[in-house]
Amino acid sequence: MNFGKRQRRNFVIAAVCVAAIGCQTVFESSDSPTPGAVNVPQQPEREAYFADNIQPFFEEHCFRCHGEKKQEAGLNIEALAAFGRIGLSEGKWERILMMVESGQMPPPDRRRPHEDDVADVADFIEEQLETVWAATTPDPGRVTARRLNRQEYNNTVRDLLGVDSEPADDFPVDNSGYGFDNIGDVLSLSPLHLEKYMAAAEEIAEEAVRAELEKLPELPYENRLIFICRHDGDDHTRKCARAVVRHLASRAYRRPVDRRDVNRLTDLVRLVQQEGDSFERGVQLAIEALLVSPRFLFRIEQDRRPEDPETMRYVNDFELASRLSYFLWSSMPDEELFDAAYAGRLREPEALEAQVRRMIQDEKAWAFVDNFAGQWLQLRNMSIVRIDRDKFPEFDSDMRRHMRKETELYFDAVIREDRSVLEFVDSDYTYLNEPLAEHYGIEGVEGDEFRRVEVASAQRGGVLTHGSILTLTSYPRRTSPVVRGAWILENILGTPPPPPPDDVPDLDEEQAELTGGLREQLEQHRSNESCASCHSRIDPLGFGFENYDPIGRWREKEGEDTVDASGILPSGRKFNGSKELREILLEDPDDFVRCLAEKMLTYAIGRGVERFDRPAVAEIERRVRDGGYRFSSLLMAIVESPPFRMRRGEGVRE
Amino acid sequence: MSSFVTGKTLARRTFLRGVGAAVALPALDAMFPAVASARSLARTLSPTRLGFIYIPNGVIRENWEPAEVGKSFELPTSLEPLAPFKDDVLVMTGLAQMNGRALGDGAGDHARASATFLTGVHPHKTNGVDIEAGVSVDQVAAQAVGHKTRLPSLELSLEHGRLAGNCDSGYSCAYSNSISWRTETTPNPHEYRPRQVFNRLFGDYTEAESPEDRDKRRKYHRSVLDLVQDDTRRLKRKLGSTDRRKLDEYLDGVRMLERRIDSSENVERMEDVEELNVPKDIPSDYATYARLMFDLQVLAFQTDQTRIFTFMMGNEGSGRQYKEVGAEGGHHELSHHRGNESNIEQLANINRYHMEQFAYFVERLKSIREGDGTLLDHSMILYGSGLGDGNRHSHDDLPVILAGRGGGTLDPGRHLKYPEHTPLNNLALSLLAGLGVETDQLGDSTGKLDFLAM
Repeated sequence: MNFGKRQRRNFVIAAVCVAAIGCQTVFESSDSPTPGAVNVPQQPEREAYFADNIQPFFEEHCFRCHGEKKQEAGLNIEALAAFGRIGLSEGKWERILMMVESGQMPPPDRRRPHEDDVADVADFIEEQLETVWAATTPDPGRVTARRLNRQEYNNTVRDLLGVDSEPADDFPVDNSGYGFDNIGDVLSLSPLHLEKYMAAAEEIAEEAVRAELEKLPELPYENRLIFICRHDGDDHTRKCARAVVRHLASRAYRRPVDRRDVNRLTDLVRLVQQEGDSFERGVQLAIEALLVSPRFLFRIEQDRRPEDPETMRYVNDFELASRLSYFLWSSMPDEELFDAAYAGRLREPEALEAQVRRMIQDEKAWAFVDNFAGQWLQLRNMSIVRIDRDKFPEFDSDMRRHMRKETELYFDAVIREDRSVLEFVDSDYTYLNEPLAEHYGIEGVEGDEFRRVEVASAQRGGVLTHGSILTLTSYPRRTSPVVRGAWILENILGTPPPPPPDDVPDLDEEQAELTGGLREQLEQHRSNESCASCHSRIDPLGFGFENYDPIGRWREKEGEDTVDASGILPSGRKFNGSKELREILLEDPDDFVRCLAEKMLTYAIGRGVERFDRPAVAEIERRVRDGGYRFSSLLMAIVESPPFRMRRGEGVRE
Repeated sequence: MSSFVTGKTLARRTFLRGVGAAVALPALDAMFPAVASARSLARTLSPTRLGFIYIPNGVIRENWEPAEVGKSFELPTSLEPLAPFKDDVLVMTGLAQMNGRALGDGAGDHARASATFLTGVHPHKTNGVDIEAGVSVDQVAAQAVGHKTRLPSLELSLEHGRLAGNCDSGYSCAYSNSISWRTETTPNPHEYRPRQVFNRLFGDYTEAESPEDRDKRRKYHRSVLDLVQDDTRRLKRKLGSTDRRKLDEYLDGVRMLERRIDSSENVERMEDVEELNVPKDIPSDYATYARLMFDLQVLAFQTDQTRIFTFMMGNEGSGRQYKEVGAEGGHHELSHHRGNESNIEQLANINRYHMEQFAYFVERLKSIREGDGTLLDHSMILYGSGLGDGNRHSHDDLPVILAGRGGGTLDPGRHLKYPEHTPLNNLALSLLAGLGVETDQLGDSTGKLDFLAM
């Protein structure tokens, strides 16, 4: 058996047990699976392979600085590198894998190991990690109750009551965490929020009731959102009031309501009538109450044993319906989703897939482009990115909009046409209108309408060549290879560089700008050993895009100097220009797929991706590879992953 | 629209005019009766106000610190705009927020500067869920005296927070974009849109409703809040502790709303309030924008909508360009001047430009008569930054100006130089005391500051 070859694509767990760990389960549990339990099978052949081929590598290249005697960066590989332990301290092994595979370790002043040996070691670590993950009972984690953010609030009142005045624009800005503004733990609620909610509820209820009453004569019952029954006569009124508030409340709370809920709301209607106001005014007040209820404002999932971290469960059909609708629409479920949930069909695999495919084609999925792509690629910052208008008068507010639009349409095409997600990194088409095409120096595009344009040259293809991303990663007056490189590491490769240490002097940027000597300065910077380990990863990626000016235009020259867009990656790979770099990025798309999977999972479940999610992420990656990188394979893998489908009780697991 | 929370029950008249909303409050000097000389009444009519104004990225110390201490000192160039009010301000040097230093957490001095400014607490380094600093001085004040006004406190800024990504070397944007912390884990959101501030203070309704209608509406609102509170309590029993905390935040908000419904009948103070045009859009010119926000704060004080505010003239680490004063580079970029003379000059210009806006605010406060003096006499307005020297990211020798007389608790017109590393939070304790709020300890405070009053 040759373990040196890349086997990830069809990795199968050997069905035997490892001596070092044996078959013991970390947690005893027979009937219900325990989140996070590990049960690694034995692998005698691999153990022998490890002793002959892998251990010597560690001894030769690592132990001197990361051994029993000395622990650089607090890392003792000597203690970790016993066969049975590889993969178990996952965080450390992931880091080791990253440093070795990217060529950052051993450090530049040490002897370089042979390329094949590096590949063998990297493969071995990765396979061991996957073995551990595959043998781990999934821990779905737990999502904190999520307050509706501003987009979600606006969309929800639109779908709930037909009010599309976007009242939440008046609310305080939502904080974001892990790069997204729909993270339960981060979405706090201040007294100011309540104040705004109350004022908004009053307006929305008034507007909704008024609008429906106006249309009532010609509005068939099945199209009504509020007054779904007739209410002439006292007795009838009471019954109808109950029906009206039940209908509204179950939709506002996104789940069935009980008698008590209906009673309380009906009492409110009656109170208003007792004060001499109309039934309709009563319903209006009930709507106000619904809109300030925590069950509307938060997406709450209740557990039978909320404080027991060992209990996990599948989310119920209504919770799943909301998870889907807020993931893809940033809004409440529609009738079809509710129907499927009431019928108890939503959790059936075919039904689930059919719903997801339907939802992504729905117009409301534009919210996914807006909110997911808008934050993953930071497109939302297009409205506030600072560019020096004296130096770049072309960069007006229209240009900001065009650039953002290009990337949104591109993203939209990949998801709706179910294209390969690798096209985010490189392709041969984009979306342009005349002003943007002119900006790029592409001829033959006329008019303000955006349309798909095949780009023959190597200048454009993939979001990294879009004006939006190129501008977002520039300073007001010049490009920054460091910012662009770090952006790619963080958002495309998912390996963000650590922040610079305290005491590092910044580049003299003004000086660099005057002399055009930025590359020289960065090279000098890298000659400092403590800077080198990060900047050897960051800078070359940025240099690859030097042919694009701060507002994304192609340039061969900068001032008098010919632009040098070549670079050498830490692995030793050389490239010249963005096209070659993009192709290299796609040669091994695993990093990109993992990065995208983690970002999308974060957005989907509203919490950060944790260490215990690694098995779930690895499974998503596998399904995306097997699915030919189609967008739908990513989407389905996320929707069917344990973190999306399940939850567990709160608390620290033993 | 109409709403009790946006001020419908305020017995004053506002109207919409052109593109901008304007508020015109009737001149009611008659409301100040002859008994105003009575000391107790004077106190209620002229309560002490507390404000905190933040400028980002530190300052050029050379153009900031007066050479002399005490009463006779020259204003350095960055402070020159304060010349007409030299007798109304204290220039304070030597104060520090030492918990803003790295203390083992590496880079991120900008985030720590704003997070410590009013808390004195070293913030937890995270860009995720577990943000934590300390309760800020303005919120300690708000919790003590906030119930006396319609809004316990007002949080304003001039910059929309960054919309995506981390703000500073692994610190959450919450740190760079907030100085007001309601609890250790919840920074207050702030409003940067003048029109929204206006609506919050006064609402934009056209005519007062009848007392009967008002009573009925209040009753309705109370029953809505009763219902959701019941609901919340029932819900809480079935939730884990994190979710329960979320609902506690919610209930806090509900209770404050209830209090507001009950207190909105209180007779509001009225004085000569000038008309204020509040445009729908944010003014593109920085000075106009800043002054408009200052006008709103003056108005909030004057009408006693609140007695406490915080105002960030820029988020920490702000990269705003101030071309109007010849600063070509972004503010943050420039602040790392590395001794470059042109950069230093541009920065000093920015420092002075900010000071001009502040001077406008001081002037406005001083121009308004109230009780036995002016609004400024009854205020304590702290203006400063959580970074001393922006180039070095230092957290000591912070730029601090204190304007007003604090209702007689301050004796301005001096440059006070304190021993190196004196906690800024000591000043916080003194300010709270000036407000009548005695506090033993806040953040890293070691006691009240000396020499504020003679």
